[in-house]
Amino acid sequence: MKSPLSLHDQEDIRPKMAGPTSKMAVATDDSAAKLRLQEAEQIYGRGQGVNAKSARDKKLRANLKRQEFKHKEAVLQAKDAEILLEHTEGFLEPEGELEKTYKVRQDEIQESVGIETAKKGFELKLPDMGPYRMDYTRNGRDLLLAGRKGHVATMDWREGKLGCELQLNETVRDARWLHNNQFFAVAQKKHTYIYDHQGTELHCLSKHLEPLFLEFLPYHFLLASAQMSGHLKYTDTSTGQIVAELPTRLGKPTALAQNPWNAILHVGHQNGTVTLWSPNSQTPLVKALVHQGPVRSMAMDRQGRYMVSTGQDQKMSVWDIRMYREVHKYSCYQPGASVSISDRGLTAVGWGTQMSVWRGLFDAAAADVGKVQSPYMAWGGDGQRIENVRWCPYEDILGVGHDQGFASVIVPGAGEPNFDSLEANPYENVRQRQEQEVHSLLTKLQPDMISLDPNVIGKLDTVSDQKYQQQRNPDQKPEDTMDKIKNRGRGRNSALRKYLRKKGGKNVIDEKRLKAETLRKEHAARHKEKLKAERNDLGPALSRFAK
Amino acid sequence: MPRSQTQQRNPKDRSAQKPPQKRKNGRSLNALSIAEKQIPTRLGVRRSRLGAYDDGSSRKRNTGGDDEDEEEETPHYKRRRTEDTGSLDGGSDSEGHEWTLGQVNSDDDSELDSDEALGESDEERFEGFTFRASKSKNPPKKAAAKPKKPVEINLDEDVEESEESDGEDYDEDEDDDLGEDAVDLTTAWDMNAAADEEEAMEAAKKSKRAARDDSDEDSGSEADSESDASEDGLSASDDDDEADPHQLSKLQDFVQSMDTGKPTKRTQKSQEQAKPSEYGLTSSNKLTVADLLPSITDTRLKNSLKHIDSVVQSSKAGIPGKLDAPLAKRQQDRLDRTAAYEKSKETLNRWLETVKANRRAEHLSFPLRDPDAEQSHRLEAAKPQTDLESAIQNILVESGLVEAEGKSAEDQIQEMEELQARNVPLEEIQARRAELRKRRDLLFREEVRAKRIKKIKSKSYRRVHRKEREKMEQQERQALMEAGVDPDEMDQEKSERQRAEARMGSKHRDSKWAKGLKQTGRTAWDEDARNSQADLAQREDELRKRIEGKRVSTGEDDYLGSSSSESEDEDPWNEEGSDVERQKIQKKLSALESNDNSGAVKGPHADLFEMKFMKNADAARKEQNDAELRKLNRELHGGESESEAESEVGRRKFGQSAKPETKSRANQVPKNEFEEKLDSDDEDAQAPGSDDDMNIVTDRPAKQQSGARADKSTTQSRKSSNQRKAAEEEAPVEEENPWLVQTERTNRRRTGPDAQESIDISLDASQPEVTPAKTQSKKQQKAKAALAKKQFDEDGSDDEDNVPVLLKNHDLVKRAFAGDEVTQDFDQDKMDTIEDEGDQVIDNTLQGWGSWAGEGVSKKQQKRQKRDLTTVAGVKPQQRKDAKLDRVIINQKRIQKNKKYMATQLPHQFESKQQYERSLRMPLGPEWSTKETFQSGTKPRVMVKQGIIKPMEKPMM
Repeated sequence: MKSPLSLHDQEDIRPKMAGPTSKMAVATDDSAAKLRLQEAEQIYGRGQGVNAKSARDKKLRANLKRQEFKHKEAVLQAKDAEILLEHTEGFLEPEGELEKTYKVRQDEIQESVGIETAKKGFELKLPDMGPYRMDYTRNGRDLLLAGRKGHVATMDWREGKLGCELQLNETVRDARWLHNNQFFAVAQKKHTYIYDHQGTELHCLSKHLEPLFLEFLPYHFLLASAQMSGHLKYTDTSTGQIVAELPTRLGKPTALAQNPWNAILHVGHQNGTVTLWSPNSQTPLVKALVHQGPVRSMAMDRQGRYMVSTGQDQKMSVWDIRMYREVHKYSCYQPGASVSISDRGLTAVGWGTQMSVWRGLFDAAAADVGKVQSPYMAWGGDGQRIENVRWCPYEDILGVGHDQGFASVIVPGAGEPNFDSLEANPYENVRQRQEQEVHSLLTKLQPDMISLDPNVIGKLDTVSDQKYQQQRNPDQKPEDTMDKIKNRGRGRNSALRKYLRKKGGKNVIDEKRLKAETLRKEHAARHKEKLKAERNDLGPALSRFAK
Repeated sequence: MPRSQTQQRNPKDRSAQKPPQKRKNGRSLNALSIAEKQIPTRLGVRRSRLGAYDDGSSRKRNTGGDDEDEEEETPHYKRRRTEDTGSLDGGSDSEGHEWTLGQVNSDDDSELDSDEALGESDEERFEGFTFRASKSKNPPKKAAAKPKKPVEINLDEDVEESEESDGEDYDEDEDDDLGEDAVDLTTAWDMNAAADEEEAMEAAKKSKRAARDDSDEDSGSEADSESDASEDGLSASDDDDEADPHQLSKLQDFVQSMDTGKPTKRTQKSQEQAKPSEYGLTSSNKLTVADLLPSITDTRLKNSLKHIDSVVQSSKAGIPGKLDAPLAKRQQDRLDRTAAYEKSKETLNRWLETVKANRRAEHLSFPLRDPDAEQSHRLEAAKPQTDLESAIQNILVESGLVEAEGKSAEDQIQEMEELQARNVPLEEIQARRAELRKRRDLLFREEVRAKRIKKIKSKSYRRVHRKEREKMEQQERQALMEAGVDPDEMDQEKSERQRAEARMGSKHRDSKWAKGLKQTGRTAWDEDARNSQADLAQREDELRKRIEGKRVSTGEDDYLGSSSSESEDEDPWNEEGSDVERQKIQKKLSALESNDNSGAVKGPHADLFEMKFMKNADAARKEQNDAELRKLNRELHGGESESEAESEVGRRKFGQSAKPETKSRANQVPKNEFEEKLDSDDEDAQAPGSDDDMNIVTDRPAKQQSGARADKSTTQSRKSSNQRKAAEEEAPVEEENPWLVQTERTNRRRTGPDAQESIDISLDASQPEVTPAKTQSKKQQKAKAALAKKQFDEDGSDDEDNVPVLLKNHDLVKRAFAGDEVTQDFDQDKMDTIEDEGDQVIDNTLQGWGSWAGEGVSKKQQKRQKRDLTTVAGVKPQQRKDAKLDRVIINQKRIQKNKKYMATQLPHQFESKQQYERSLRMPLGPEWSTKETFQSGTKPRVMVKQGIIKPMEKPMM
């Protein structure tokens, strides 16, 4: 009969003995898990969670809790999925202090890398048709070259296969691939034209008059051009309609670039300002004075955090475009003609005949540890004036367009090593390309959705919500002005007195005025009493000094 | 059997009940209620139960019986009725057939009538009232009613012998006359006329006799069947039998007389349930004369019956004759329903958890899984099946790695203990248990104590630990120092503060504590006090040394000593302190030197330093600085006394070391704004004291450069004050902008600065008084400002790297863009934007409204017209997003096109914006999340898989 009880007693004691070690193990497990979660949150987390306890409704509370749990799970899973990213980027690392990575020449690199990679570094000598601008497709497979004097060519640059070649016999100012390698737009002397992969002219965008720069927003299917007249025009390439015509009113633009994060276009101007545009606003969203001279070129990083711009004032400035603050300013020996930022955050600047690549500009800015002292890599100095630099997506390749042709430069560590085939597939075949085209058309974003903060979609419109709330309970009392001014100020200039003096004619006696007067009287009475008390305190001789 | 039991109990009830009953007879309602209170009546269930059977089964039975022998039985009924009541209404007589069936019907009718008359709420209110009142109305009925009661009970019992429990009769009996009366009343209501008796009486006698025989047989069989029948019951029935012959005749007489007296009094109800028997008594006679006595109100009758009473009392007390009349059907039904509801609720409640869980479940997959099926499989220790396995198992068992039969060691121990416990005597087990409990208790107490200790550890404990911690910190800092990292300025400040606190602390020489020690002479006998006194002395010594500038050397044991002593405060007097300072100073010095050597200045204001006057001033300053540096170096290395240095500090002060000093001095000496102060290099000195100076420095350039703005400001005179404020806010920022500091050249280039200035002066109320007075010293002031600026920049330039190569270009660049008033234009642009997006004043004044209009109206009069202005609120300049960004204009207009993608109002269920927006934060698409996340995020709530979806058989939880 009694034995079970005694057994029970023992059971009670036993865990206590075993406690410390197991607890320790649990604790370490716990902390490890916490650490893991923290790491995951840092990369994949999406902001602070809400406190579920703050919800009054029970069901909502349960929902919030569940949602937070799901977030956590998702974050952890994303972290775990990192195991699938099999490639890592590799940079040039100096072995000693005396070794400088920017001294490494292309031929040295080509010798030390594999043959296939080495083949990617090449040069095209096209001395006749003058400075070349170029562009890569989104998957980095095809290259578009556009010489100032009318030479346009596309090619699968890895294969060395020429797609098409055009001699347009008029000035070509810029050229851009559209959503895939089937179409490209060329900014010619008078209009913008669209050609297909065979070089057939498909469209002439007559509204895009005298275009200087082109930019294509792949998710919105918008082709934007900055015109000589200072206008910025958006054309929807899927429907062919003009979406927006925005006057910059700052003269001939000097640069155009897109922020890949929020599809905002940055336009550089003669007076050193950079304006930020969306097709939804006739005025610039932001206007920043970035340079003291004309802006030459701009580039935004993939996450939309930083902008690097070069100006005629021989500066390269790094701006935090979330805070709109300049974080660093670098000097160039010559005005930087072109800037480009790679997927991994390497910044290429072409200035004069030279090109230099900077590494860790943004890390330095984020960590607030001063400027980066020296570039990561350098190239050029061979008398080829650089016109345009552009990174090849998913490759450690930098394309440099100059007045003598085109050069493909190997820059280790530049490209994103792991591509997402749902996003852009460098190895896609025809069917996949077609699928991708349809898919991207189906998921096309509307031009109205472009805003500085892309997360605005679905968010609560606080203004209309406020209105709605007011509508819902109309019996909510309007703010009482009297309450507000009741205790503000003292003496002759008290808010109450001022109100009596200023508001409403003296002959109009209404409720407000009555209230104000009574309040005023109360004040006066209080003051009087106070004075009296003070007088009493001071005594008969000194009472006259009471105030 | 139950019948006998009721008999048995009756006398007791009687004695308890009697007084109230009597009062009842006296027709007082209150008394009745009091009686009810005195004698606890358990109304609900009992009654209901009894009633339930009445209503349901008895009636059925009746009808059943009727079906069998309708024609035979009807006369019996009639007879009996006439005999019992002595009066029957003609209506009932005439419809003989209906009577048999209609016993029920008529009864129902009567009940229905009364019920309807009352209604539910009334019933509740008048519970216990209605029936009693009726009784009081016709008290004579009672005597007649009495005999019927046993019949009722009989019926009841016949029907539900097995169910009737012994305990329940008691209460039923108490209430019964009440119920009966009620029935009487209803019948009285329903029946209009009385019937003739005599013939019926005779017929009834016969029938009764027959019924009696039947019932006797019945009761016999009951007695046999019920095993737990009491002997008393049997004896009582015997008594009844004996009493029967001579009592019955009397009773009959009595009843007849009563009947004649009160012909209307009848209860159909009682008859309805009664089995046809001779005297209206169904089985062994429960009824005695004594039972009837209490109900007699007539005194004469009572007297005449006295002898009977005495006889009865000597013998056994009869049946109380007070059983419950069944409740009205409605009430009964309601009670039934509530009971049934309770039951069903209970059964349904068992499902509640399951249903809730399923409702709340995020996903449901049908067919549902059987919870039992899942639980069933439990892993048991694998048993070796093959030879090899058994061999290995044997080996394992032998080696002690595995216990035989798959039991763990713990289990075995437990088993052993159990076995042992069986063997040992009880006392021992108890003793052991007591011991165990004690130990547990002790353990618990220990635990609690440990918790408490943890909470309030002793002072000394904390002190020791703090010392250790500090030591660690100090070591860390030392390590940092060695590594070349400067501990923060904050730390420095902190340690200084600690030092000051120590000076103020209780252990100071002049403290109360110290004085107390001295006065009481406690040191003579108190070890602690002595120690701390010594400590104090030592510290004082150190302090003095420190003041003299000597390095104090104390070993590591200093810590230990102090920790063992009572001292509470920190020990800031460690040699590290001075070392740290010295090192820091040295480091700074070297940094300064290196900076000086580099010569070139860079940074955002690099171009500023390129100007000639700046260079000159720079050179002068540099000389001074060099001298200062040299001196400081000398002091540091040469070990000169600091007092000397301090004396010098009074004369000159530079850099960070002298900053606080200068501040205080600046406060002391009232400044003359026209005085040229080359010494006062610190801008701190200038800034707070002389606002006027600042105005000049800041306003001037802004004014000169904003040629275009000046024109504008004339038109916008209304907002001039606002603007001025904005300008003042901007001023400090502008001051640092190199482009705003004018060179001679740019001044010359300006086309008409003077004219614009004059406009400005006329417009700005605050400026005229300042500007003319300052013109003479303008240049000096400017130089001063530049100087100050330079000093500031120099300080800041320590951490910026140098780009000397590019320096030569600055001048070129400046020249190249000298004509561009980029910044001014931009500022102007910003001002415009602020105005555009700010509050808009709309003039709604109508010409001639409330005043004269047209030709010949003087300007004065025009002005006098009251203006009707409305203000449309916009974005206030201070609240703009770019309020603190001097080179950025952020458009604050709402973008209408984006609005359609936003939620116009907070969706239901969410209580705050954060909650709602958080719910959208995690994307669902496969592009942004892993496959698992995607799938779990898009999984439908209900999934139906192949299989039979059966309804749940039992609750799952």
